[in-house]
Amino acid sequence: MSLEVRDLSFTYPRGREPIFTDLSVGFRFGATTAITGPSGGGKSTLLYLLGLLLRPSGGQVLEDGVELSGQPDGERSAWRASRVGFVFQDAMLDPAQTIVENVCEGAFYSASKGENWEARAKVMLEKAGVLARFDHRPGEISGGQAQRVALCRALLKRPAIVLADEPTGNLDSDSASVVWQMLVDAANDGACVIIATHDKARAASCDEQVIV
Amino acid sequence: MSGPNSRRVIREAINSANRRPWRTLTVGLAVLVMCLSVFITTGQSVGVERRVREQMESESARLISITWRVMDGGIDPSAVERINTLTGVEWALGRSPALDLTNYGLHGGNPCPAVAVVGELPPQAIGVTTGRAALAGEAMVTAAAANCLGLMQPAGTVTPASARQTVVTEPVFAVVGGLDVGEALAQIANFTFLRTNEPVSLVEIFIQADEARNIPAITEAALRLTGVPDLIDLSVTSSEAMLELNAILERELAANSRIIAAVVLAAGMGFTGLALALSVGAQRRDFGRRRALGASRSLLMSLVLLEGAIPALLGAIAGTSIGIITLALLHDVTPDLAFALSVPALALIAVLIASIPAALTAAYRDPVAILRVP
Ligand SMILES: Nc1ncnc2c1ncn2[C@@H]1O[C@H](COP(=O)(O)OP(=O)(O)O)[C@@H](O)[C@H]1O
Ligand SMILES: [Mg+2]
Repeated sequence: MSLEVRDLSFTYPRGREPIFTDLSVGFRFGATTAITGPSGGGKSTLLYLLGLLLRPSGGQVLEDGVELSGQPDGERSAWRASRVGFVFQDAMLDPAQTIVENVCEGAFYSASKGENWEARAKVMLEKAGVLARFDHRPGEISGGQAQRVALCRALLKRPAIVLADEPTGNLDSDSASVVWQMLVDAANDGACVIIATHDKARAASCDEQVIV
Repeated sequence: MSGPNSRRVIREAINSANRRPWRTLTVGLAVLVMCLSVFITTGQSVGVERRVREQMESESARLISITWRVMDGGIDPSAVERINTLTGVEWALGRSPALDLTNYGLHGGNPCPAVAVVGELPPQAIGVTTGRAALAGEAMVTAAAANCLGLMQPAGTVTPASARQTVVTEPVFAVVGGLDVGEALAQIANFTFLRTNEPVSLVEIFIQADEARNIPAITEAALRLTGVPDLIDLSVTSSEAMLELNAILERELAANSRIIAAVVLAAGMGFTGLALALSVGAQRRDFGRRRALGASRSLLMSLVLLEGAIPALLGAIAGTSIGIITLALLHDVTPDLAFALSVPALALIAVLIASIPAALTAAYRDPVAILRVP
């Protein structure tokens, strides 16, 4: 199994200069890869490209040698829904839904069914230490708790690929440790975990590092 | 590779609609009002149409009168019986020119109007109130005529006021009964009705058609049956012109209610379209999140369309039900099935079309731009 970018270049439609030119990197499954670099270096951009939310200006994103980035929206969305767990810098929870409903949304968009997602969501919330709040709304929990909930949502469907954008960026150290440990656990379970971070120590603890 | 199945999408749309009760209510109410106003305006014109038709079918509207327009002579009295045999003719009654009568018992009594009538008295238009129907040489009086003649009750003897009159040859008539003349023959409601021994020339024949739409055909046939060689000597009064007016009115009312329905649908469409566009515009984070979590553009479009369509469906059902009940209560009208179904269907289609811009906005917004904003 492999996830890679090949000869990737990208310029924002209204951007002055390219963010990447001819970037080629492979990402390992069963490992954590840190994306580091200065602020504005393109860490988030690379994650959006890997998550097929942006289309490369040149080059390709491939999984197992299959080009993904050039496919139509339906295919890219379905791939994202079934293969990718996304953790955004901001938790991006739906304020209108309860915590457990927010977590369950992580499995909603893939065609897969049959599993009792709510039960699994509660197991994950327990692991993340926020189960007590499962029927609260996002407006009633702290930022650190929200990010833990967001991580549960990303990991709910046991995604093969986890893309995390500064997941510990503005968290208290307790929350940061919980979140980081869950990401490491996902990698240990075989996922390809890619984390954009400017935390040098945490980056160093990853199995791989990519500097942009 | 196709995302959640349609049952889950519909359930999600219902949940999502529940989470935005104001928008859901707005759309639902808008569609309810759309359906209801179409039903009520259309029902009103159906009601007006019906009242006009009822008016058209009233006895006076179905009355044809053929008159002799020349100074001397008249129509042969045998024409009445011939006309009576026409299909579609309820009754026919002929009358002579008017003459003056006085009460034979009072010397120098009032001259009062009278006519000789030919043909059976139609019970639908003329009721015998007292006494019996007059035979040849006898007379019947309406209440007004009895009053004029100074008869305390419909009995006595009447005589033509002037010997020079040529309408009737009899010198006296015995009054044998009282009459009540209906609205259709209001024109001769004050008269004394005479039955003569000798045939009289007629100056007017009243013909009652069974249905308003038969008036033209009956008129034509009756004119021929008068036996008058030159039809220019006759003139006809009937509601034929009103019949045409009625047809025009029906057309105009139908066109009018179509225009009103179109305006209501267009206004409702604009309103719901705007409401949805504004609401969806305020929901950018929601759609950005969904896209990043794997929702395809088509799924987002389906969600937005369903979130409009579900309350629209409920509003259409409610509006149609209330509309039908209102019509039944206010105008006593039951719309036909095709109409009752097409109103909510059109309202639903209008809302679906109106929500397309909102759906496109939701689907084509750049999720990355949304994710970047904290
Ligand atoms: N929509 C955009 N149009 C033009 N430039 C952009 C846009 N979004 C981000 N950028 C620029 O792209 C660069 C990379 O941004 P980003 O990937 O967020 O960096 P990082 O996550 O490493 O801080 C930044 O210089 C930023 O200003
Ligand atoms: Mg960033």
